[in-house]
Amino acid sequence: MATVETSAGVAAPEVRSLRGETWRRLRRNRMAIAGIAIIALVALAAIFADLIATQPTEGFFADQARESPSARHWFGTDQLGLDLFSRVVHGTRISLMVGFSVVASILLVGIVVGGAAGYFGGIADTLLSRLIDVFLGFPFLVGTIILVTALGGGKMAVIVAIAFFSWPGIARLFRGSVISIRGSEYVEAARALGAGHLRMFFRHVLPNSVTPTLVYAFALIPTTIIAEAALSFLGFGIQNPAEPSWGLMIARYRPLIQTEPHLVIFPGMALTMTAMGFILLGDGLRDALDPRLR
Amino acid sequence: MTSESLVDVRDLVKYFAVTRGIIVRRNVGWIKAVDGVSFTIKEGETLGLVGETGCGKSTTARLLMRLLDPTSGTIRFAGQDVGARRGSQLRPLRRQVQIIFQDPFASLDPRMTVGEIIGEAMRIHRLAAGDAVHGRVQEIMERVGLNPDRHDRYPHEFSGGQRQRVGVARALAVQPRFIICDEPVSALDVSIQAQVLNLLKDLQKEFGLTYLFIAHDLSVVRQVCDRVAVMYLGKIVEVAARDDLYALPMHPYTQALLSAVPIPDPEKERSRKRIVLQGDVPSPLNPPPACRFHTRCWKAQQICREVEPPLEAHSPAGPDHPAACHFAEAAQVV
Repeated sequence: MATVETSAGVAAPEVRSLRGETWRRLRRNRMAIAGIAIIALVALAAIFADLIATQPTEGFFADQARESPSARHWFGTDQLGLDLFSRVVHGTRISLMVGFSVVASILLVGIVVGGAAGYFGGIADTLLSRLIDVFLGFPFLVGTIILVTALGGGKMAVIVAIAFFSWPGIARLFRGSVISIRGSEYVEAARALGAGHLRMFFRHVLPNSVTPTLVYAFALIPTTIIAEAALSFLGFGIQNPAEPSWGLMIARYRPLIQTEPHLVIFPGMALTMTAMGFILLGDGLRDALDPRLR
Repeated sequence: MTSESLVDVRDLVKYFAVTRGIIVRRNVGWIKAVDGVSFTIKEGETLGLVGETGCGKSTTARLLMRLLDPTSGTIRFAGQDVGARRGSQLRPLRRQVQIIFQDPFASLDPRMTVGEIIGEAMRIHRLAAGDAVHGRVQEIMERVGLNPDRHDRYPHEFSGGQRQRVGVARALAVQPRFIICDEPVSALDVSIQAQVLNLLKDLQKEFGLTYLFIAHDLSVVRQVCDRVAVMYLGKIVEVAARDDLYALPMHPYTQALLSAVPIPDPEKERSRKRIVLQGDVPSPLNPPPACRFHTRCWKAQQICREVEPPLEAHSPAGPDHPAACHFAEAAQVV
């Protein structure tokens, strides 16, 4: 292949940033593309829920209770006569909000705790690592049920409870990455130049160590969405019947599964599809960023 | 302290604790990486520090840089005691003392452009601000032989020799007086080594720099150093002006090292005797008592196992050429 000559007459090497490279590799992964498509669909549904699903999601309409899917009610109606399609579409908001809020907050806590432990080492590392161990020792479901009940239930309680028991994994992973980067020569060089702790951490350590943690955090979004549905299904999470949480819907429609199975199937499918979209994209991201496959 | 020595190191010691246990840390021993090292470097001079891997050369460099805290001993730089300084007190020192690392692939942040890498020091020390940084970076890149137009490229787009030039440029950015070169060319191809060495020599002349040049390759040391100190297991065993060391090595360890340097004359090379040392370098955890070299020395006697030889002058070498051996004698090996 002939070398490309620029106007200056210097052979131009192919310039490829890490981000560009990741996107190129992601695009070749069909499953990841499918994941992106699903997530885009779910996100659009959440953003434009009020335009797409115009029928009421709460109230009581006796004249149209327990109808089968039809042109007017695509997913049918429930025992209160509420349009299931509208409820499922509005449910995307709850799932995405819980998923993103939990992951954003555990990233923040995990990076602060894991970063402090890994960067400073010594006593700080010993104490914080033992704290992480204590949290990882809790059974997740039991812990979240107790905490969400103590907090009085509802959306905020669910977010806090799931986040409370999810950050240690992030912290431990990030701690390891920080330790491996902290000892590198370019961090030492920055120190030799007189850089302070803040500059060394934010300019050098963080950008070079955060990628695996971001991928892992992304993979926690579906886990979180399912955890919210599970808590709500079990009767501990979102319990206000007016809130269209998929887990709560499945729980409330479960007695009708033999006569109106669609009432359980549609929210269940929405939940599964959403989780799968995030899992596919998460796997794709992990593969695209894996240096061994590069 | 004489007025002209820029760096004055006295009895520098660095022990690393070896600990066991997670919650209750028990100290199970010390790694004696640097154990009583003294030397001085005059302004504008290049002191070579040679020795095998693991003998404490790089630890000495990091102690001088104050990237590590010394266990004991003093480090005086330009007359000021910097060995006991901590944290922000080290800031002024960071402007005057810089380091060039061995591995040009590990010592540059892969996520920063070379312009950002070179400019970082100027920003830290507020030597320039805004657009002025850009101009200064390009100036320095030009000076070390890099195309200034490539300031927005990432380190992985450069070759090993060019990357090492970036490392040199980064060190120069703060206009230091003293640069520690920690094996700056040992990771490079032989053909590139000479270019980088010449660059370092030119810069020394131009800016009046003082170097501590660490290497394990004696022929590289011979090219650039005025004086050479030989280290073995955390101690300096011999110090001499470059030509004296090569002509009249006094310490058996120095003689063994020099006998391994290839001579570019096949006949001489064939006829000379190589001194092949037995065994490996002992662990710096529990190093041999008294003379640390006695386990591998062909001259070793009972006294070597009992009394540590001081670093002192022996005839025929002059007073500026001390060696730490009870049986020091001149031998021609090169």
